[in-house]
Amino acid sequence: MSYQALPYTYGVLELTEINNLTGMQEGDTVYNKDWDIMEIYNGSVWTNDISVVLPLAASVTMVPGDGVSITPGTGNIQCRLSTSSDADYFWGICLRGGSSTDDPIVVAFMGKVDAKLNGAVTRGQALELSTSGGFVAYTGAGAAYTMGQTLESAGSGVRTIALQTIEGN
Amino acid sequence: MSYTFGNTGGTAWGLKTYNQIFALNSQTVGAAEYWDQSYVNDLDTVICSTNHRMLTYLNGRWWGNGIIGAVNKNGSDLEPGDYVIVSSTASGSTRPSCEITTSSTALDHCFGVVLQGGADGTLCTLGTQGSWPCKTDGTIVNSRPMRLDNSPPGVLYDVSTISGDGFVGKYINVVFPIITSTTATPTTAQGHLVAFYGTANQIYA
Repeated sequence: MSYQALPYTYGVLELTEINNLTGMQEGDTVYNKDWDIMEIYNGSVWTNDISVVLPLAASVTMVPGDGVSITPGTGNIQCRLSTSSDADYFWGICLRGGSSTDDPIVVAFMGKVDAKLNGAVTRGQALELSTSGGFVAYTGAGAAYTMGQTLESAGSGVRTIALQTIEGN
Repeated sequence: MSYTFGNTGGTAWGLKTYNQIFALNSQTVGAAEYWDQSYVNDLDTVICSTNHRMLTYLNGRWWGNGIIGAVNKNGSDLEPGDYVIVSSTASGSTRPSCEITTSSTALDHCFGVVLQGGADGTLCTLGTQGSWPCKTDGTIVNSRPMRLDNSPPGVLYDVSTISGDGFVGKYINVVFPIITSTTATPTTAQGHLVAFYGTANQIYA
């Protein structure tokens, strides 16, 4: 057994402090006290157990809270901001963004995250990717491409949601 | 017990690939991703470099977030990369039981992908969320959800429609052959790295 708690490479830090770190090596660890989760540096970006890392499809700016979808096709997977036809291509919510082609985007696919909503919501409503860039929205009962649900009743803006399902209906 | 704290990330064993940790031939001298785990002890830690997840060793198994122990009730061996459902056969313990299904009506019982398998009646570990290699079948197209198949059984496939039971996640376009033998130069099956979302399909009202 271990005689001490796991000694994270960078200890316990706030999100801003983590994002400002330099000189990391693949496999370095840190405890993110804003998200209450351990993060591991994958050689390019900090990632964690609720996320996958996907390359950005094009030179657009993707920021935390954006809804993330996949460019459909048979080539390499790349992610992009949601567009009008992307409801069934959703991946999740951006936790760490980028602005250049192939930038590593950290995309949460589960857990409690902050997402960019473009309309008022009531607690518990189902969410889909919206028809405009990077937003998620409540699109009515029985939504076919549900990606999660709201955890608070609020107007548009960055709101807390629970990512918890995939489409398939 | 662990005496090593100086490895990458503060772990006992630093970075190891999925195949070093889980592949059937990882304990075979001469295998490309051989790792002698005879010195691994309970509560030792390692980072799986394939998906950058922290794992902890206990009682002969590697555990982590979303990794569930289940008893093999398949009637035959389960091996890494097999996708299993919750079995209706009692496990004989407090653990759930699991099996590969050939039934098209049991797809909604989807459970997880085998990480560490074994013979019928033994405890297996299953990855139920996050990115793990899994056996697949057919041509896989970007962005589509991956669905459990029953023919061939125990694999995921890319269904051209998005209707039905057994959707478990989406694939990340990493072709990942699944090692299916213990030999140094192993046989493999088609596989991909799949992001498991941790739930079956649902509609919210």
